[in-house]
Amino acid sequence: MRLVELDYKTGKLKKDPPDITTLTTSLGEGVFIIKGPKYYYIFASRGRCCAGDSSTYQIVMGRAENVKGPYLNKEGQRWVDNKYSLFLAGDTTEPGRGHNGFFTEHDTTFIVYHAYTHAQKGASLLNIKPMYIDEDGWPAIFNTNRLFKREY
Amino acid sequence: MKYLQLIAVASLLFIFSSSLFSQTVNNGFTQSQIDSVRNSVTGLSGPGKPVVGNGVGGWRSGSAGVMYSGSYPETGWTTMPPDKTSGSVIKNGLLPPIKPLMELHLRDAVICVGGDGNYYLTGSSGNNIWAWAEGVEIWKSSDLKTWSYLGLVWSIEKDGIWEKEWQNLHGKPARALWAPELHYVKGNYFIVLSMPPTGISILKSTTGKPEGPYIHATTITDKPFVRGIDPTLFQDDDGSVYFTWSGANKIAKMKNDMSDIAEPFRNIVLQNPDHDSLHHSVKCMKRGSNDLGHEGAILFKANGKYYLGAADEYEGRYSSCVAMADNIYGPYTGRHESVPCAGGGNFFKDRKGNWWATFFGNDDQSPWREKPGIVKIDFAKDGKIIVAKDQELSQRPQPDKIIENNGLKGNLNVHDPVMIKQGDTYYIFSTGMAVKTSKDRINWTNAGSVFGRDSIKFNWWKEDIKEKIGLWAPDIHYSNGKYYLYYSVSAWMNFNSSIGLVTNTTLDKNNPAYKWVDEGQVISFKNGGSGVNVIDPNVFIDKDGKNTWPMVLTKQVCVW
Repeated sequence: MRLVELDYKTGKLKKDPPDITTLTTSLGEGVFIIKGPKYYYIFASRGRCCAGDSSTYQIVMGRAENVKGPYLNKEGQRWVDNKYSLFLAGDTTEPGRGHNGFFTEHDTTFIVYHAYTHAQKGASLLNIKPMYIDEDGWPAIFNTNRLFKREY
Repeated sequence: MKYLQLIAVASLLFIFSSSLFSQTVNNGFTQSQIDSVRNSVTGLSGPGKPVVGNGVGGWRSGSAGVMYSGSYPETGWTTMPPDKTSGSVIKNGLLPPIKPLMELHLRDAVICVGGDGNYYLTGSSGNNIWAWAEGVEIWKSSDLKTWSYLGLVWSIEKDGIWEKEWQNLHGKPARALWAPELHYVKGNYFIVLSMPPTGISILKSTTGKPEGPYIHATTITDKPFVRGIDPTLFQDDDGSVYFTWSGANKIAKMKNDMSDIAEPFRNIVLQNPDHDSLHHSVKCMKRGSNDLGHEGAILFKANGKYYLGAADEYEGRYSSCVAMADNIYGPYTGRHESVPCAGGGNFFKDRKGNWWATFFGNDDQSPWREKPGIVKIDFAKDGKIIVAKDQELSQRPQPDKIIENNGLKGNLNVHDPVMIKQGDTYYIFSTGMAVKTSKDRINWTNAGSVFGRDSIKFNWWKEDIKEKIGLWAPDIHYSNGKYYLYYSVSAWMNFNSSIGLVTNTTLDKNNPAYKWVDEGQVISFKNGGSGVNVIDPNVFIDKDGKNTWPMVLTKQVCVW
């Protein structure tokens, strides 16, 4: 995964050819970055998508103090070395989950993703879930009673 | 003394004749060696079973045994690891999400359009085609969806002549039958087949029916018609039938009664061969990458052009590589990968006039292995074979189906969603540039797509990619009074991807100001870093910590 700077007004490259920041060399697709009170959080998907009930798609995360990184996992290992922490994996009801966006309304940030759903013969279905933050300051999909606070 | 001499001569004779016998019959393999191969696997594939889910997994057979992954495992089969069917050919957009016709162990699947308008499927059957097979099995369908089993129409043991002999295949006894094809030509059904590693037979139905029984059509019956594998037949518009095989290096017209070739074999000339070593197997590469392919010969005619091809290893995929000519004998030109991962199959036109390629899956990029499937094809303006956009037998669920799931309801089928709100309406944008709307974030309705049904909206899409464009994984944000929608421009069989941008002042289609304005290409494979497929954009707007959105911006970045 790569990162480049854009011009705010045009929405196009600030510089061409751009200065490319390498975020990962092999890990992930469908990247999404959001900013919490302290960290920039990066999310991406890995595993097998688009294979119905045999999908193994999952969402992984990391965080950094600078938008360009270095993004680290929970163990302090670097994303640029393709190390990540799991955010949301599949289970028997939804073998693959991934490729997410985020949407914030009022004090709630929702994670929006697709899940290959066993009850629908492996069809890829829309899911929208509120996001929380855990005791260690990492985003969580389970209810920790503390909503994730998104700055932007 | 005389008596003793006689015994000596007799025993010498006996030794001589038994050694001669062992060299010619079953290649010296003993009955117990043969029985052990026979008992290791079944030599029939049988009627087939319903596909479970999307039909991924399957078989991988070989000299070392059979691997399997799926819902119907049998004892003696080891587990096939998931990386043998990664499905990356679909993920990378080279193939639409296809599904097998049935859960049936079949390699080299081919479909014949019969004289009665029905479709007949055959291929290399039995559970290990490196061991042995009973013979030729056929399945019948009137609609390419529901298949009935016609059973074994030609048995090696009962109907074979030279074919009955057990061969030495990679040092092991084998009586395998590879790539049989059923052809309706000259008003009758013919089967061509190969017995590896020896040679080929041509059979004809004695009843004019696909069920047979079949006998040898050729005058030669006690040995192969030619040496090699993977034979095929093609009947031209004037009724002449042509024969080619293996890597489609030679071709000849058959006699009218199909008893022999009617002329000497002619060598095929391939003009402008593809010398990219990634587009060939090691075998072809060692010969200078001058070939169409190395096995699985293909020959058909469409739109007045002859298509000759053979299976090769194309960027790691087992695909039929095909070239075109105005004359059946060539010269052929324009070698290209036809349907990715569909090597070893054939091409046919259905009763409605649609063209199809058969598919069986023989590499790690395939969604499944050794199961029959079909892929609808089209022809590009230059005649090259391309994968059709609309696939009737695809994995894709009905997009407008109403589903209730995880607290949401409505048209929930989606890939790669992002969400935004304008006024009282929530919007989801997703792969295919498909849009959904909701007033309550719970009930979702499909609301068309950003670019409508036009396959090409902006000319710059075509600059890097000549094939059919796919628009994937959009990202949306609002700033400067506009909605900025970033999206991936990619295509099947192409990694020259880029990220495009369109803007709109409103998302409400009923607003007269609603219009997506092309802001062009943001970044592409040319300036996005080498070896990176530039897809899946996300734009993040950073800002000075002291100010709140949308005040002072310090940085806007695009990640992919």
